[in-house]
Amino acid sequence: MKCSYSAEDLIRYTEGLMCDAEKDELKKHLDICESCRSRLGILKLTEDHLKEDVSNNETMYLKVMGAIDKDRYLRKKSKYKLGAFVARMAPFIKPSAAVILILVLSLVAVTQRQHISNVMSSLGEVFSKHDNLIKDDENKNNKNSKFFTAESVTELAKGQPPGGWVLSGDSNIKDMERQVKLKFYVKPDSDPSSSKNETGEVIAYLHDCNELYDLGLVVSF
Amino acid sequence: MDRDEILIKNVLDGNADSFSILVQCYQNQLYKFLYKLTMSKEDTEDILQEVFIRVYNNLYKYSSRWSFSTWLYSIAVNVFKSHYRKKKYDEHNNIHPEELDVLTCSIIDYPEVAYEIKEQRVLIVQLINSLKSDQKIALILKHVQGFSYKEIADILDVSPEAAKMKVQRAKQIILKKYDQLKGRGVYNEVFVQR
Ligand SMILES: [Zn+2]
Repeated sequence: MKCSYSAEDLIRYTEGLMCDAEKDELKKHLDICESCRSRLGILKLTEDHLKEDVSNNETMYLKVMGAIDKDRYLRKKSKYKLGAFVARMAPFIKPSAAVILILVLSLVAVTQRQHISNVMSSLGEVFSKHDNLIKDDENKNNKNSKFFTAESVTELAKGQPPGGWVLSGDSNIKDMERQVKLKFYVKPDSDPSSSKNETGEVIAYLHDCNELYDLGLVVSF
Repeated sequence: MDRDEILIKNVLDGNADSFSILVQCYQNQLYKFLYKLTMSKEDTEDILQEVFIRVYNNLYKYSSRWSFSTWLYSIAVNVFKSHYRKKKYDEHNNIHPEELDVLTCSIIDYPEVAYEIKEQRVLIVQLINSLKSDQKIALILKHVQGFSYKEIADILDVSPEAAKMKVQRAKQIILKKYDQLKGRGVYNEVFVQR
């Protein structure tokens, strides 16, 4: 007997994608078509096989706990917190933005190089692995930044500029769905672009649309 | 914050015991997933151990933008793939007879049908093993854990349409291979169980 049902039809049936009329028609057909019966049987057996529970001794966690470095997150708490923050942002930031950010910061960071470097080494670490977030941590090579090499010691915390400080400029560090900005606030009457004062200070913040995160004092002149 | 997020935050705060709870929450479902992929207890245990160690070491990169379970499964898929790159292809495709005994232990109480069911099982496992790696993974994610195509897409880092296509292709190939085997008279019919 000639059969008009394709593999796709049978798959649609097992996935519940047929309308009632189609289903009824196929069910009638199954009574007379051995080929469709057995093909449908294979699909069902495949699902059953995959769904069937597997017994295991459920003590995996003991082996795992014996194998991990339990102090990992105690030792370098702040580094990983910063890493966690940036990882949250990373999907929005294109790798090229990292380059821009490094350039901006390397220009601004005249006196506070060390502090910026702490932030940047963590940023760079994440950006460089942006496409491969789950690559093994041990294989990383994150000490190759042209500008900075320091180990991170800084925790990135929410912050607000001090009263009276004004926004001097901001730099979009690129995203597709959400704004992520680098914002620079200057001390009252010390904006280098408008004030005649010889001295001043600049604090940088990362702005992720809702919150400002303190990057700290980046320039004092 | 849901349970996982709280546990993750605790771990990142230095409380490793919270990680033990996370492992206990996910070890059974991941075991099942990896076992259906490998059909080997030994490989499953090796891979699972490595998955959890990687998850722990990379936990600070986890973002709650993704569901923790899709993140976990994407790591499991990566570890599985690299594990089998190291192994010889032959080993991968072999079915260990003792593993199938474990599989069918639930029906051993019915000796009159046990043999037939075991035959069917060997057939099904062979058909699944004949799939390309990504099709096989997509199919198993779909049915072992009941993931949506969107979730499978996130795990495999492809579009939902591509994820759906992989599952469909997997089923089509299984049917095609089955038809070929049947044409050669290798297997008896497998009838619909209604
Ligand atoms: Zn038919």
